[in-house]
Amino acid sequence: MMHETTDKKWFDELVLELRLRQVHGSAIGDTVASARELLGDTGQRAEEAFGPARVYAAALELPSAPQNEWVRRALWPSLLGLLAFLLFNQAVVSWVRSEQMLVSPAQLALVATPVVRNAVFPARPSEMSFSELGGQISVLVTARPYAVCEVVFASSPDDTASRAGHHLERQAITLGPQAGSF
Amino acid sequence: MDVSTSGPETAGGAHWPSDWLRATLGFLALRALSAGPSYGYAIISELERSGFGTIKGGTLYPLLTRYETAGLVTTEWRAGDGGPGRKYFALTDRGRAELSRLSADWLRFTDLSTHYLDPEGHTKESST
Repeated sequence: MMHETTDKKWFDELVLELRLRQVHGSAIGDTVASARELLGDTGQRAEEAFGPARVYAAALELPSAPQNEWVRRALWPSLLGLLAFLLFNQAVVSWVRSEQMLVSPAQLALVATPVVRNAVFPARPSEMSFSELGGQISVLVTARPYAVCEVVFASSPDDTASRAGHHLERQAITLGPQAGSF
Repeated sequence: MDVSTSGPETAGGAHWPSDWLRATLGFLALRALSAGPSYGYAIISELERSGFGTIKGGTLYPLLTRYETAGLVTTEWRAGDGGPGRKYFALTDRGRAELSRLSADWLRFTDLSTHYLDPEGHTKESST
Protein backbone atom coordinates (compact mmCIF):
# COMPACT_ATOMS: atom_id res chain seq x y z
CA MET A 1 0.00 0.00 0.00
CA MET A 2 2.88 2.34 0.89
CA HIS A 3 4.45 1.20 -2.33
CA GLU A 4 1.47 2.45 -4.31
CA THR A 5 1.26 5.87 -2.71
CA THR A 6 4.96 6.69 -3.10
CA ASP A 7 4.80 5.60 -6.75
CA LYS A 8 1.71 7.70 -7.27
CA LYS A 9 3.55 10.69 -5.88
CA TRP A 10 6.48 9.96 -8.17
CA PHE A 11 4.25 9.74 -11.24
CA ASP A 12 2.42 12.93 -10.24
CA GLU A 13 5.76 14.69 -10.02
CA LEU A 14 6.84 13.26 -13.36
CA VAL A 15 3.69 14.41 -15.14
CA LEU A 16 3.87 17.83 -13.53
CA GLU A 17 7.48 18.27 -14.55
CA LEU A 18 6.79 17.20 -18.13
CA ARG A 19 3.82 19.56 -18.25
CA LEU A 20 6.03 22.40 -17.07
CA ARG A 21 8.43 21.53 -19.87
CA GLN A 22 5.46 21.85 -22.26
CA VAL A 23 5.89 18.33 -23.54
CA HIS A 24 3.06 17.19 -25.80
CA GLY A 25 0.28 15.28 -24.03
CA SER A 26 0.72 12.09 -26.05
CA ALA A 27 4.45 12.03 -25.26
CA ILE A 28 3.65 12.37 -21.53
CA GLY A 29 1.19 9.48 -21.75
CA ASP A 30 3.77 7.40 -23.58
CA THR A 31 6.41 8.14 -20.91
CA VAL A 32 4.09 7.25 -18.05
CA ALA A 33 2.91 4.04 -19.73
CA SER A 34 6.43 2.81 -20.55
CA ALA A 35 7.59 3.58 -16.99
CA ARG A 36 4.64 1.61 -15.58
CA GLU A 37 5.41 -1.24 -17.97
CA LEU A 38 8.98 -1.58 -16.70
CA LEU A 39 7.95 -1.31 -13.03
CA GLY A 40 5.41 -4.04 -13.65
CA ASP A 41 8.14 -6.24 -15.14
CA THR A 42 10.83 -5.66 -12.53
CA GLY A 43 8.68 -5.12 -9.44
CA GLN A 44 10.87 -2.16 -8.51
CA ARG A 45 9.68 1.09 -7.01
CA ALA A 46 9.60 4.04 -9.38
CA GLU A 47 12.28 6.03 -7.59
CA GLU A 48 14.53 2.96 -7.47
CA ALA A 49 14.30 2.26 -11.21
CA PHE A 50 14.20 5.77 -12.60
CA GLY A 51 15.71 8.02 -9.92
CA PRO A 52 14.09 11.32 -8.92
CA ALA A 53 11.12 12.21 -11.15
CA ARG A 54 12.44 15.66 -12.04
CA VAL A 55 15.83 14.29 -13.07
CA TYR A 56 14.20 11.58 -15.17
CA ALA A 57 11.89 14.11 -16.87
CA ALA A 58 14.89 16.25 -17.74
CA ALA A 59 16.95 13.27 -18.95
CA LEU A 60 14.30 12.24 -21.48
CA GLU A 61 14.85 15.48 -23.41
CA LEU A 62 11.40 15.30 -24.96
CA PRO A 63 10.65 18.08 -27.43
CA SER A 64 8.35 20.79 -26.13
CA ALA A 65 5.37 21.72 -28.28
CA PRO A 66 5.72 25.23 -29.65
CA GLN A 67 3.30 27.60 -27.94
CA ASN A 68 2.21 29.54 -31.00
CA GLU A 69 1.62 26.49 -33.16
CA TRP A 70 -2.08 27.31 -33.57
CA VAL A 71 -1.26 30.57 -35.35
CA ARG A 72 0.53 28.72 -38.11
CA ARG A 73 -2.01 25.94 -38.29
CA ALA A 74 -5.32 27.77 -38.00
CA LEU A 75 -5.03 31.51 -38.32
CA TRP A 76 -2.80 31.76 -41.35
CA PRO A 77 -4.82 29.54 -43.74
CA SER A 78 -8.07 31.27 -42.83
CA LEU A 79 -6.55 34.70 -43.38
CA LEU A 80 -5.25 33.51 -46.72
CA GLY A 81 -8.72 32.22 -47.60
CA LEU A 82 -10.31 35.55 -46.62
CA LEU A 83 -7.81 37.46 -48.72
CA ALA A 84 -8.52 35.24 -51.73
CA PHE A 85 -12.26 35.66 -51.17
CA LEU A 86 -12.05 39.45 -51.14
CA LEU A 87 -9.84 39.51 -54.19
CA PHE A 88 -12.13 37.13 -56.08
CA ASN A 89 -15.23 39.11 -55.15
CA GLN A 90 -13.76 42.31 -56.43
CA ALA A 91 -12.57 40.67 -59.61
CA VAL A 92 -15.97 39.10 -60.33
CA VAL A 93 -17.88 42.33 -59.76
CA SER A 94 -15.71 44.27 -62.16
CA TRP A 95 -15.79 41.42 -64.66
CA VAL A 96 -19.58 41.25 -64.67
CA ARG A 97 -19.86 45.01 -65.03
CA SER A 98 -17.21 44.87 -67.76
CA GLU A 99 -15.13 47.39 -65.89
CA GLN A 100 -11.45 47.42 -65.26
CA MET A 101 -10.48 46.13 -61.84
CA LEU A 102 -8.91 48.96 -59.91
CA VAL A 103 -6.42 48.10 -57.24
CA SER A 104 -5.22 50.66 -54.76
CA PRO A 105 -1.62 50.52 -53.51
CA ALA A 106 -2.86 49.45 -50.09
CA GLN A 107 -4.78 46.52 -51.61
CA LEU A 108 -1.76 45.54 -53.64
CA ALA A 109 0.33 45.47 -50.49
CA LEU A 110 -2.29 43.30 -48.79
CA VAL A 111 -2.38 40.84 -51.69
CA ALA A 112 1.41 40.73 -51.82
CA THR A 113 1.65 39.76 -48.13
CA PRO A 114 1.44 35.96 -48.62
CA VAL A 115 3.97 36.11 -51.44
CA VAL A 116 6.39 38.11 -49.31
CA ARG A 117 5.77 35.86 -46.33
CA ASN A 118 6.57 32.74 -48.35
CA ALA A 119 9.68 34.35 -49.76
CA VAL A 120 10.97 35.43 -46.34
CA PHE A 121 9.97 32.28 -44.41
CA PRO A 122 10.01 29.50 -46.99
CA ALA A 123 8.06 26.54 -45.63
CA ARG A 124 9.81 23.24 -46.15
CA PRO A 125 7.52 20.59 -47.64
CA SER A 126 7.63 18.54 -44.45
CA GLU A 127 6.65 21.57 -42.40
CA MET A 128 3.78 22.54 -44.67
CA SER A 129 0.84 21.23 -42.73
CA PHE A 130 -2.15 19.65 -44.35
CA SER A 131 -4.41 22.30 -42.92
CA GLU A 132 -2.37 24.96 -44.67
CA LEU A 133 -2.62 23.05 -47.91
CA GLY A 134 -6.30 22.52 -47.21
CA GLY A 135 -6.77 26.26 -46.77
CA GLN A 136 -5.29 26.90 -50.16
CA ILE A 137 -7.29 24.15 -51.82
CA SER A 138 -10.52 25.41 -50.24
CA VAL A 139 -9.84 28.76 -51.89
CA LEU A 140 -9.91 26.99 -55.23
CA VAL A 141 -13.04 25.07 -54.27
CA THR A 142 -14.91 28.23 -53.22
CA ALA A 143 -14.00 29.74 -56.55
CA ARG A 144 -15.93 27.11 -58.54
CA PRO A 145 -19.56 27.76 -57.51
CA TYR A 146 -19.03 31.45 -58.26
CA ALA A 147 -17.83 30.57 -61.71
CA VAL A 148 -21.03 28.55 -62.22
CA CYS A 149 -23.38 31.30 -61.07
CA GLU A 150 -21.56 33.82 -63.22
CA VAL A 151 -22.50 31.80 -66.27
CA VAL A 152 -26.14 31.50 -65.15
CA PHE A 153 -26.60 35.19 -64.52
CA ALA A 154 -24.70 36.27 -67.56
CA SER A 155 -26.88 34.11 -69.82
CA SER A 156 -30.25 35.06 -68.28
CA PRO A 157 -31.79 37.54 -70.73
CA ASP A 158 -34.25 39.21 -68.32
CA ASP A 159 -31.77 40.77 -65.98
CA THR A 160 -29.99 43.94 -66.73
CA ALA A 161 -26.28 43.96 -66.21
CA SER A 162 -26.46 46.00 -63.01
CA ARG A 163 -29.13 43.74 -61.53
CA ALA A 164 -27.07 40.70 -62.36
CA GLY A 165 -24.15 42.22 -60.56
CA HIS A 166 -26.27 42.99 -57.50
CA HIS A 167 -27.68 39.44 -57.45
CA LEU A 168 -24.30 37.94 -57.85
CA GLU A 169 -22.95 39.78 -54.86
CA ARG A 170 -25.80 38.52 -52.69
CA GLN A 171 -25.50 35.02 -54.11
CA ALA A 172 -21.75 35.00 -53.46
CA ILE A 173 -22.23 35.88 -49.81
CA THR A 174 -24.83 33.17 -49.23
CA LEU A 175 -22.77 30.60 -51.11
CA GLY A 176 -19.56 31.39 -49.28
CA PRO A 177 -19.87 29.29 -46.10
CA GLN A 178 -21.45 26.36 -47.94
CA ALA A 179 -18.66 26.17 -50.43
CA GLY A 180 -16.11 26.41 -47.68
CA SER A 181 -17.39 23.20 -46.15
CA PHE A 182 -16.43 21.15 -49.20
CA MET B 1 43.27 -12.78 -22.57
CA ASP B 2 44.24 -11.68 -19.07
CA VAL B 3 42.27 -8.49 -19.41
CA SER B 4 39.02 -10.19 -20.28
CA THR B 5 39.12 -12.69 -17.42
CA SER B 6 40.20 -10.23 -14.73
CA GLY B 7 36.78 -8.54 -14.80
CA PRO B 8 33.87 -9.74 -12.71
CA GLU B 9 32.43 -12.87 -14.21
CA THR B 10 29.16 -13.46 -12.45
CA ALA B 11 26.35 -12.18 -14.59
CA GLY B 12 24.09 -9.77 -12.75
CA GLY B 13 26.66 -9.10 -10.03
CA ALA B 14 28.95 -7.35 -12.49
CA HIS B 15 29.99 -3.88 -11.46
CA TRP B 16 31.87 -2.05 -14.16
CA PRO B 17 32.98 1.55 -13.72
CA SER B 18 29.93 3.70 -14.51
CA ASP B 19 31.99 5.77 -16.96
CA TRP B 20 32.58 2.70 -19.10
CA LEU B 21 28.91 1.88 -19.24
CA ARG B 22 27.99 5.45 -20.02
CA ALA B 23 30.33 5.36 -23.00
CA THR B 24 29.26 1.98 -24.35
CA LEU B 25 25.60 1.58 -23.40
CA GLY B 26 24.48 3.31 -26.59
CA PHE B 27 25.74 0.72 -29.00
CA LEU B 28 25.19 -2.12 -26.54
CA ALA B 29 21.50 -1.23 -26.52
CA LEU B 30 21.49 -1.01 -30.32
CA ARG B 31 23.13 -4.44 -30.41
CA ALA B 32 20.44 -5.81 -28.10
CA LEU B 33 17.87 -4.68 -30.69
CA SER B 34 19.75 -6.08 -33.70
CA ALA B 35 18.08 -9.48 -33.31
CA GLY B 36 14.64 -7.91 -33.61
CA PRO B 37 12.25 -5.51 -31.84
CA SER B 38 12.39 -5.67 -28.06
CA TYR B 39 11.04 -3.86 -24.99
CA GLY B 40 12.55 -2.23 -21.91
CA TYR B 41 12.76 -5.13 -19.51
CA ALA B 42 13.90 -7.60 -22.20
CA ILE B 43 16.76 -5.28 -23.18
CA ILE B 44 17.82 -4.85 -19.54
CA SER B 45 17.68 -8.63 -18.98
CA GLU B 46 19.67 -9.30 -22.13
CA LEU B 47 22.44 -6.89 -21.08
CA GLU B 48 22.41 -8.35 -17.58
CA ARG B 49 22.73 -11.89 -18.96
CA SER B 50 25.67 -10.77 -21.09
CA GLY B 51 27.48 -9.61 -17.94
CA PHE B 52 27.12 -5.83 -18.09
CA GLY B 53 25.28 -5.58 -14.79
CA THR B 54 21.77 -4.27 -14.19
CA ILE B 55 21.01 -1.20 -16.26
CA LYS B 56 18.41 1.07 -14.69
CA GLY B 57 15.29 2.18 -16.50
CA GLY B 58 16.30 5.74 -15.72
CA THR B 59 19.38 5.21 -17.88
CA LEU B 60 17.95 3.07 -20.67
CA TYR B 61 14.75 4.94 -21.53
CA PRO B 62 16.30 8.41 -21.95
CA LEU B 63 18.91 6.82 -24.22
CA LEU B 64 16.30 5.09 -26.38
CA THR B 65 14.15 8.23 -26.46
CA ARG B 66 17.11 10.19 -27.78
CA TYR B 67 17.75 7.49 -30.37
CA GLU B 68 14.12 7.67 -31.42
CA THR B 69 14.45 11.42 -31.93
CA ALA B 70 17.63 10.82 -33.93
CA GLY B 71 15.83 8.24 -36.09
CA LEU B 72 17.94 5.27 -35.02
CA VAL B 73 15.01 3.36 -33.53
CA THR B 74 11.25 3.36 -33.97
CA THR B 75 8.72 2.52 -31.29
CA GLU B 76 5.46 0.66 -31.37
CA TRP B 77 3.00 -0.28 -28.65
CA ARG B 78 1.95 -3.89 -28.79
CA ALA B 79 -0.80 -5.44 -26.70
CA GLY B 80 0.50 -7.82 -24.04
CA ASP B 81 -1.00 -11.22 -23.25
CA GLY B 82 -3.80 -10.13 -20.96
CA GLY B 83 -1.64 -7.56 -19.21
CA PRO B 84 -0.91 -4.00 -20.28
CA GLY B 85 0.78 -3.24 -23.61
CA ARG B 86 4.51 -3.08 -24.13
CA LYS B 87 6.51 -0.47 -25.94
CA TYR B 88 8.69 -2.21 -28.51
CA PHE B 89 11.80 -0.59 -29.89
CA ALA B 90 13.06 -1.58 -33.35
CA LEU B 91 16.23 -0.63 -35.22
CA THR B 92 15.88 1.49 -38.34
CA ASP B 93 18.29 1.24 -41.27
CA ARG B 94 20.07 4.27 -39.89
CA GLY B 95 20.28 2.60 -36.48
CA ARG B 96 21.77 -0.49 -38.08
CA ALA B 97 24.36 1.61 -39.94
CA GLU B 98 25.19 3.47 -36.73
CA LEU B 99 25.60 0.19 -34.85
CA SER B 100 28.07 -1.24 -37.37
CA ARG B 101 29.99 2.04 -37.47
CA LEU B 102 30.25 2.29 -33.67
CA SER B 103 31.09 -1.42 -33.33
CA ALA B 104 33.96 -1.09 -35.81
CA ASP B 105 35.23 2.03 -34.01
CA TRP B 106 34.97 0.32 -30.64
CA LEU B 107 36.84 -2.73 -31.90
CA ARG B 108 39.67 -0.54 -33.16
CA PHE B 109 39.74 1.33 -29.85
CA THR B 110 39.83 -1.81 -27.71
CA ASP B 111 42.50 -3.35 -29.95
CA LEU B 112 44.56 -0.24 -29.46
CA SER B 113 44.03 -0.20 -25.69
CA THR B 114 44.73 -3.93 -25.32
CA HIS B 115 47.86 -3.58 -27.34
CA TYR B 116 48.98 -0.58 -25.32
CA LEU B 117 48.19 -2.21 -21.98
CA ASP B 118 50.01 -5.43 -22.85
CA PRO B 119 53.10 -5.34 -20.54
CA GLU B 120 55.36 -7.04 -23.07
CA GLY B 121 54.48 -4.75 -25.95
CA HIS B 122 54.84 -1.67 -23.80
CA THR B 123 58.30 -2.48 -22.37
CA LYS B 124 59.54 -3.42 -25.81
CA GLU B 125 58.29 -0.14 -27.23
CA SER B 126 59.69 2.02 -24.45
CA SER B 127 63.08 0.29 -24.53
CA THR B 128 63.57 0.99 -28.24
